[in-house]
Amino acid sequence: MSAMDLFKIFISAALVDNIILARYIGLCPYIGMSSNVANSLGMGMAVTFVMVLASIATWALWNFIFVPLGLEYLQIMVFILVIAVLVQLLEAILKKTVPNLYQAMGIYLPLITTNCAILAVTFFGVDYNYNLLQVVVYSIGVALGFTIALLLLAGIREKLRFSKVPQFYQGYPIVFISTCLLAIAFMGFKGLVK
Amino acid sequence: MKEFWDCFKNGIVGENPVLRLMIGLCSVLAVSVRLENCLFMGAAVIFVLTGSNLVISAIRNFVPNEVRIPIFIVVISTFTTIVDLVMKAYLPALSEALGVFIPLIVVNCIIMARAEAFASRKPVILTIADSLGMGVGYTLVIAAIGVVRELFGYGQFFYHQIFPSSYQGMMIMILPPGAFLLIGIYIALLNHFHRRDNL
Amino acid sequence: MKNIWRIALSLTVVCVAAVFALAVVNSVTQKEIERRSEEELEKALQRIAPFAQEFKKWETLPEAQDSIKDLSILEVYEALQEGKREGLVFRVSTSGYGGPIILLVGISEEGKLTGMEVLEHQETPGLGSNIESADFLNQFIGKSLIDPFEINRDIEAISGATISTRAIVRACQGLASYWEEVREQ
Repeated sequence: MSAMDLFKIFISAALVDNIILARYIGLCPYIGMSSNVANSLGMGMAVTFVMVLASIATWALWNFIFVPLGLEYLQIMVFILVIAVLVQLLEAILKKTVPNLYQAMGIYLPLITTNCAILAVTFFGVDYNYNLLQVVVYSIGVALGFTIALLLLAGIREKLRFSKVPQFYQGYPIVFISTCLLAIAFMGFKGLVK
Repeated sequence: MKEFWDCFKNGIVGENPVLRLMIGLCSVLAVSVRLENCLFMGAAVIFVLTGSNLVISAIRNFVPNEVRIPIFIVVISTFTTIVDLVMKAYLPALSEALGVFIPLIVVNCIIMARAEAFASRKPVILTIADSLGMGVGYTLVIAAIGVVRELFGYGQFFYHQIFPSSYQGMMIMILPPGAFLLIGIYIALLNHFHRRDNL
Repeated sequence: MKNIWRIALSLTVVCVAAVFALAVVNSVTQKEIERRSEEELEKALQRIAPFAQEFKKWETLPEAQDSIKDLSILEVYEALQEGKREGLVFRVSTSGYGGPIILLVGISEEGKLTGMEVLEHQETPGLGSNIESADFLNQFIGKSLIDPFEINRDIEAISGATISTRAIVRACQGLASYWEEVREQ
């Protein structure tokens, strides 16, 4: 496994197959948490943290316990429970040990349990038959792509406040139209990784 | 009976989960390239929504408040897995087309939100009405998007050619940007009519 | 303290019920899924090499020389007619525009393409996805491996999807040299 392959996985996870703009996963926090740049940065950090930890935890469980025991059909239930437990643990640990970080991303943590992006990444990690290193690189890439998309939209929305939007396009409609344009821009990355 | 009907209608018009509450969007946009996919996705969501909320409502008096969320998750993921396994076994082509979005029903916010807000508080009969209403509301929106995307993207309706075969197909409708564009337009239209009614 | 027991009990009951329900469903669907995927493969092989009655999978794959670029051989099946080998079917993976393309290609003993099918791909819908179309794939069937496989000479490219076309053509060229190496085995 060369560094080049890892780099390819990283780039295609972050840009080419951007989890929001190309795969439509994780739209709820994307729409909900993008009203300003500070919020979206906090959410992005929290997602990155949980996504990497969750991928490692589910990858280990899957390869060392579920596949050997032939319990693949419990995948959905176990993965979602692992994420839920992880989020609870993380919240408790951060509160005690790193209060500053908890201040910055604490309020976003409970929202993450039902974030489909996290669950999807854990599924893809085992689907693609990645090894541990690849899973880590992949999940960091996806999380970065998520944060980029969130930040871009937040930037647009902050500017939109000063623009004249037709009355019935105000609110969500114009957000989706902006997303449409962002998605077109991201299509330019297709074919980047071979 | 009237109460039953009101609960049902609420999910379709008043609090349509997709267009009004902005939840459950991922699968709506992802699978709506073909109308057939939309209907099966809708059916899967209705099954999981109704099944799990029925169970949650039935056991609501025995579940201690502290662990209600984990129990909801276990119940919902059980129903999701059932749908996933059954689809893989009997409808392999569709299961391929819907891909990860079937397992992702488990984190579909509609289901968790309804379990928390409705099923864990109300009797079984009303829960069924509410779940069916929400599910049908979801299916209508996804089908409305699917019909436009399939028609303009492929020139087809349920795989039947509608436009002349020389029609090239609007690429954007099949690709992600088209989905975002359409849902934006739909919400704008809804806003428009809603506001006019209120005047 | 009493409360703790209630919590533990309710969680256990729900989990056990859920796992039990899933185990039952799984035991039914598991067999069906396996049966179907075997059947699918058998059918696909049959379409690729219609002359064969039986297929035998090679347990070990001969190492390919590095002349084959971007092509990985996943599986090889012998197509047997009345117990005699009449051709080989290769399951190969090549890299397209949007990701890997998995192909099933049949080659007769004389070195002619007997069939080709796209099993999986992630090409752009509406453009690159046309590699699946019969119009495109039929150009390859009946061709001999010594043919040049050149775009716009003996192969017509899909408009707007040169890279996807090239991926398939390259796979054929790579497969030609691999076939040359392994045909005697």
